[in-house]
Amino acid sequence: MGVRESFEEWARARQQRLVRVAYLMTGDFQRAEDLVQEALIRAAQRWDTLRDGQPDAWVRTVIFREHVSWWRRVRRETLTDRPPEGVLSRPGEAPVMVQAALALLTHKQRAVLVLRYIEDLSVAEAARVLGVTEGTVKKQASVALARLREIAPGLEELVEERS
Amino acid sequence: MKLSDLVDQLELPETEVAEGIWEAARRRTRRRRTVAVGVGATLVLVVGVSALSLRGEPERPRPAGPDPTSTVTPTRYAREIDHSNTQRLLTPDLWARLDAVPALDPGATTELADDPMTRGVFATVEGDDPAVPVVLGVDGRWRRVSVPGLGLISDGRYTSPPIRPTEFSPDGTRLALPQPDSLVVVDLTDGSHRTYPMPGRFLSFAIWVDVSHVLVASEADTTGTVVDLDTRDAYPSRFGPNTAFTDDGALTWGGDRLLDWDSRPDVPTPANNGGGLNPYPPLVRDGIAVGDMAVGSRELGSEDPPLGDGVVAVDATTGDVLAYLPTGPGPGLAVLLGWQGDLPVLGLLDRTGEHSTMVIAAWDYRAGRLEPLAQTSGRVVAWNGPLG
Repeated sequence: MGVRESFEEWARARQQRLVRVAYLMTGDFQRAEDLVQEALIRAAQRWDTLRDGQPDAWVRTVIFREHVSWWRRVRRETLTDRPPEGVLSRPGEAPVMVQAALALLTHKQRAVLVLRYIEDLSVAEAARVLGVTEGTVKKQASVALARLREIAPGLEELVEERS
Repeated sequence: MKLSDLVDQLELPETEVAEGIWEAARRRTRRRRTVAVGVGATLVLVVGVSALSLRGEPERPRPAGPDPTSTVTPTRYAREIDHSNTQRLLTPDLWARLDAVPALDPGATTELADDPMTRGVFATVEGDDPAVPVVLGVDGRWRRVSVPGLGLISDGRYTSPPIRPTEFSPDGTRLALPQPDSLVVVDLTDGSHRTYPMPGRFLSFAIWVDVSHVLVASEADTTGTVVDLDTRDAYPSRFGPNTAFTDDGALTWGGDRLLDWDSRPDVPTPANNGGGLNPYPPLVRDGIAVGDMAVGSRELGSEDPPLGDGVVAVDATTGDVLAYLPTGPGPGLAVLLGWQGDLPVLGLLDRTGEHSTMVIAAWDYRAGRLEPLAQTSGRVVAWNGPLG
């Protein structure tokens, strides 16, 4: 299989998952696609060396670091203290609840939660991806989980904090 | 049930984002290879080779030639930040030295249109109206820039005030304000303003190229558009919002090299975790570039230098690191503001959260000192000192 074919096969197989994870982090489908697109372009540029390594981890890191870069530029975000009325109280709509609850967290809290509990990274791995200390990851995860439980009590059974 | 299981249950459209990526990557690679390094060429060439008209005029040929760019290559940095050039200056002591410096918080204000100024030295916003810039004149008085229709910068979801550190013109007489669908340039000397429509662009960066050109870009852009303020023409530029322009040329900071540590055989990955240049406009003067950088530990598990964010001063010609000022861990603790003489001016926040005031300080990277110049409760600020 040629380099191009190898990349395209890999990219097509990963694109849905990558966009979904990016969406959970950004809360914006268009922005999620933009992040994934940028990461895939960079991966394609160095696919000859990346293909035999860990392209999934590399692309994931690019996506998260790009998002970090973006929130650093914005610096000031508009958050609401209260969840949209009724959204979090409907039973049996766990995905909707997760989306709505994540939207109420800060960028950093959301990124940490997605890395730790959706991408299943260790504290050390999440810290490396975000370029912060392990202590920061632990603290942000703790704060985010507490806030998640507070604003979406229905999610309690979904989240099991790990040390 | 685990959170990770829910990812596949989200009701999202199917994406085809992988289509055409290979061709896009090849096009980008070809573009980069055509960029010639040529510090010293005239900035007129920055505007590119093809013209788009804001007034709907047909394209016309533009002068072609090498871009006057010097791109800092980050591969040297991680290896060259060490004990000898790391300056741990961001300590609580800095906030204890603010008694003698002015507090740049708007008090009484007048409308700019009624009370123009000769030069602006500082800009911020007030909490009750974050879309309206409030500018401190060199005469020490504050003016509100109440341009009709001026709004917050938005990417469709998040909003922020239209203040950017790069918005003062080189001579301090104008402001370039990015808007969701236009560039607004305000003349501080007479209170007038001019709007340059950029429909559908959601602008969030405006960077002065020279006295009559402004580079605009959106949040996720890797390249920008140069607006000719006199003719109202707009030209695609290969420079992105992580570029600084001087009389000698342009310098791009970071870009897509930010994450290259995975493919750099010369730097062991664990020793350079999380490191790289953060792509914001650097400060450039007299061959010195000062920019934003994340730094990993040189050895796995080591805290020296600490993993975190910081600001580096480098020789723009050689790429040698002259000094590194750690500010992290944590993003957003340092803002690159401008110059005070030959010293870069930074806005610095306390990472411990004990002090809420932003310290505006000149960084004497040669002597290893931070000299407070002012303080402000603002978080979005632009500086064009000295204060006068």
